[in-house]
Amino acid sequence: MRNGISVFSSSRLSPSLEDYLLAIATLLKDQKTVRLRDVVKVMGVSSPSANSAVKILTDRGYIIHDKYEHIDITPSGIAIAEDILNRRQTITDFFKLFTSLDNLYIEKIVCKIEHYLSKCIKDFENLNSFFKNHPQIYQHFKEYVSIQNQNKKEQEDEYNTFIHDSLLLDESDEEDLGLFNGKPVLLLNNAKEGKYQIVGFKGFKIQLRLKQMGIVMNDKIKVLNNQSGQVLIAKDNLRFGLGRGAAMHIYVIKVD
Amino acid sequence: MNKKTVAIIGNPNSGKTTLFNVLTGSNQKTGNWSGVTVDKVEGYFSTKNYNVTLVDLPGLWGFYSDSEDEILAKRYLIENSPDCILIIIDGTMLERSLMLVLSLLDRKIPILLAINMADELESYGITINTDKLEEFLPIKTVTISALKELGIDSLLENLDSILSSSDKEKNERVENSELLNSTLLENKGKEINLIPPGMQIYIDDLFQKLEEFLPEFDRKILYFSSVLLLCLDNLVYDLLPLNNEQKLYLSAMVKEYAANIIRKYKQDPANYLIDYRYSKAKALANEIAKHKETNKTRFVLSDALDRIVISKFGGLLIFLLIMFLIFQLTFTISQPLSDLIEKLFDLLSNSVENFLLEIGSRDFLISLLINGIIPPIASVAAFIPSVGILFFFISFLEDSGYMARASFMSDKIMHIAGLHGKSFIPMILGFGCNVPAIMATRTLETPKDRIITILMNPLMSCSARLPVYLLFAQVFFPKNASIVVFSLYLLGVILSLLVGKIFKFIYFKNDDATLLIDLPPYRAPSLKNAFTVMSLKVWDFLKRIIVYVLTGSIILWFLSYFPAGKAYGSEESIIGSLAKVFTPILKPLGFGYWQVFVALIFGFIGKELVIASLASLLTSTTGESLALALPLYFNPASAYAFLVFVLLYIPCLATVAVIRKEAGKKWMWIAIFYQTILAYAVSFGFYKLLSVLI
Ligand SMILES: Nc1nc2c(ncn2[C@@H]2O[C@H](COP(=O)(O)OP(=O)(O)OP(=O)(O)O)[C@@H](O)[C@H]2O)c(=O)[nH]1
Ligand SMILES: [Mg+2]
Repeated sequence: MRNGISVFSSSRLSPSLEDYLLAIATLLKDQKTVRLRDVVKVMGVSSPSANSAVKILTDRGYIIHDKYEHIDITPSGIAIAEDILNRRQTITDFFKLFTSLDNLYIEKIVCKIEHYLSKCIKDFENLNSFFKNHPQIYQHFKEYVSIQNQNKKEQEDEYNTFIHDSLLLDESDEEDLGLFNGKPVLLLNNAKEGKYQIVGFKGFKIQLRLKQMGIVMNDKIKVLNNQSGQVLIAKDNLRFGLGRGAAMHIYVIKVD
Repeated sequence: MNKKTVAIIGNPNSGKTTLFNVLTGSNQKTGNWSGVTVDKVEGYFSTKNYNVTLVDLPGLWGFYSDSEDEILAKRYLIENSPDCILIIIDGTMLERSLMLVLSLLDRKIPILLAINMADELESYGITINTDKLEEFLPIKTVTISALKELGIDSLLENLDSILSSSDKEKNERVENSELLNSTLLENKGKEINLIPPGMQIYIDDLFQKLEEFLPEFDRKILYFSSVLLLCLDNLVYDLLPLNNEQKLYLSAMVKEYAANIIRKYKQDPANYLIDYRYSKAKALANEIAKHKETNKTRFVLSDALDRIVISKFGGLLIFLLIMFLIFQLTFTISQPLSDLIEKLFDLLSNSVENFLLEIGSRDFLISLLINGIIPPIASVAAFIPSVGILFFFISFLEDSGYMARASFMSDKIMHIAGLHGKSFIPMILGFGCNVPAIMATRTLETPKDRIITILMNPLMSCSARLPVYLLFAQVFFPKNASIVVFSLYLLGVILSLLVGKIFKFIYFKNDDATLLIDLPPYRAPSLKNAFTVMSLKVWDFLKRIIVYVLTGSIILWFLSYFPAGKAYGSEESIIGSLAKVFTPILKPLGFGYWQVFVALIFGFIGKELVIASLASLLTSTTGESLALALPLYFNPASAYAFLVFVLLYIPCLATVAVIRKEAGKKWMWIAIFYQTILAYAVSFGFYKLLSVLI
């Protein structure tokens, strides 16, 4: 390989060190000088860990860290960085050509898995170039896949959404997804004391809890009080106190 | 007579424990909020033909919950096969109650349904036609009022007949057709199924697999479990004796079936089932209940009150005011009674001494009674009225429906410690006794909330600490006694929040659980209940005096009397010479006397012993009553520092044990460790501060 440095040598960098090196290389493209705090900023890490990473990279001879705290990259460092980028590109191409993953997601995972796939990077390269050089065969392949997926895709998607809905939504504080036409009870105005109808719930578990306690779809509820994230609602002769989280998960529309 | 087991199941706050108490003559705790009972309790009674073991369980909203108390009830149904399930529902909230009833039909155990709160139905304008309900569901139904003890006879009669018919069926093998048939609601030729369309086949499949895996197992439990399995309930895997391979097999089945249901009905199985059943329950409720237009003032008033008691600042102010009022009242009412008790004991002490001298009994016997037993007992017994009256008022609060509101109101404050409003109830219960309060954390949904609430709880001043506060406050701050006592309670609360914040910061980063509180209707507290609670607590306190204070005092007397020849409770006594070594530790806090050290050590057994030990050691050396002896050892600053120390230091033995049971050894040691440090530091701070101020 270039400059006699083998990417497959036993002295390969660890995934996170590779990330540091790449970050420094990228920074140097845009600006003349790079300091430790720039690295800290783009990597979103603490300065001690950035410091120790820079130290290892310096020891390996990939970068120079001079007494003015400027960081510069050595030719061998450049070679390594380029190698990493090439490998990532190969894998990205592979995913784009042969899977249905979306680009954003590919970008996200490639840097995570590249390190572990580098042993068979040549295989990926061959596959990519073979199909690129034989567009007809690629076309055949595409058709085959689309037929295969016809039935399967639906299932997978739905199961995935279910798992997502049921297990993830409860834990994550995702923004209002605009799932329903209504708005969350939490956002109702205190002063307006009209009747509302429940049009949807968000989250698998909280929904179950609400239903067991007697709040279900299409119920007419009244908002008796809404004060700094604490909502008091009424349904017939039932009264409930909802915290911010719970009130965020019930969607209602106004009715008369 | 034959033995039978009956389990009480029902929504939280539907009156299960009230009925349990009526039937078995027990005195289990009841209260007007959800989650009063957090443990399984057994009691006994008999019907005409049977001796019945009645099991009271925590309330159950349904089968899909995360809190430990609800899981306990669900667990009971998977692990045990009672002969009959006695379902208690709140007649004023039929829809959600009937949904629970429908879910319990899956368990295939004979059911007796008791519709409770009959006394309130009228004011709600509801009439329930139980005959009609029996037409729809294969269960006997009675209407009762557990509180007013109405309809109990008919309940017993029906229970008896259910038990005897279950006797006959017992030996017959349940037929598959019967087990798997969920078509129940037969009305005018219309058949309605318990299980929504498309779900039964999966349940049957799972059931057959389970049967194959566990051929010897109770098949009714297996059927119930297969419904839970399909609804993605993981508890079943833990409770049934399945091996790993079988578990994997089942979970693969469940996954596939669940995915099928989602694809077809756009909903996960649990929600799909619940929605279906809720609609059935709603229809059923409409069918059997008639609503009259009634006076709505009740609701208008209650809603207006709600808005006030949960308002941002007003709510907190009202809470503090209520608590202060309770202390003030407790104080004022109990004072004369305490004085009376003291006088009686004085009299007793004098006459016993005279009598003993007269008959010329041995020295050590006189000392045992006059130094070792009577003063410590008297010092604690004087506070029997305070404890009783405090609980009298607290029981008022607990019955009123205010507790649920207070816990909702406190949500914002509890966020300081990374908790939410539900943790407030265990905190308030801590004012009574930390042991049940720590158990009450079972109602919390996340382990993080539980641990933090448990760690905070010992800083709530329990009623055993009250006598210490009262005595010192009366002696050293006679003008502001109740304010001083109140300040200690408040200090405990504030410090506990800070402690919670620190633990949250160190150990637990994320907070997630969502607050969802059922606010029960306000009810007029019943005097009868308040008196029962009071007499129970007084009785409890008496028992504690006999068990802890008496034995502790005798041990203390023994250690203080010997070696023979030395004066009682002198520095040369066994305990004196031992404790002297440690006394310097307490010097910086302003109460560096070995007697105080001994009192604190004995206080570990039970906090009442703090006073008892002081009484035993200080009165004998000074020859004065405890109230007069204390100023010789404390000044106001060190007295307050001492109270702060008593408030904060290591909780009593029983509390330590319950922390260990509920949270584990690690957290027990953490609690002991942090409280020792906190007590020392804060007490030191107060001593220095007050020494300057006073
Ligand atoms: N008016 C009226 N009140 C009742 C009746 N039965 C119970 N109560 C009240 O309802 C409240 C709840 O009673 P509990 O027996 O504690 O209810 P529980 O079902 O054991 O509650 P958890 O243990 O929290 O699940 C108490 O305040 C009782 O006084 C009744 O028949 N009529
Ligand atoms: Mg109960």
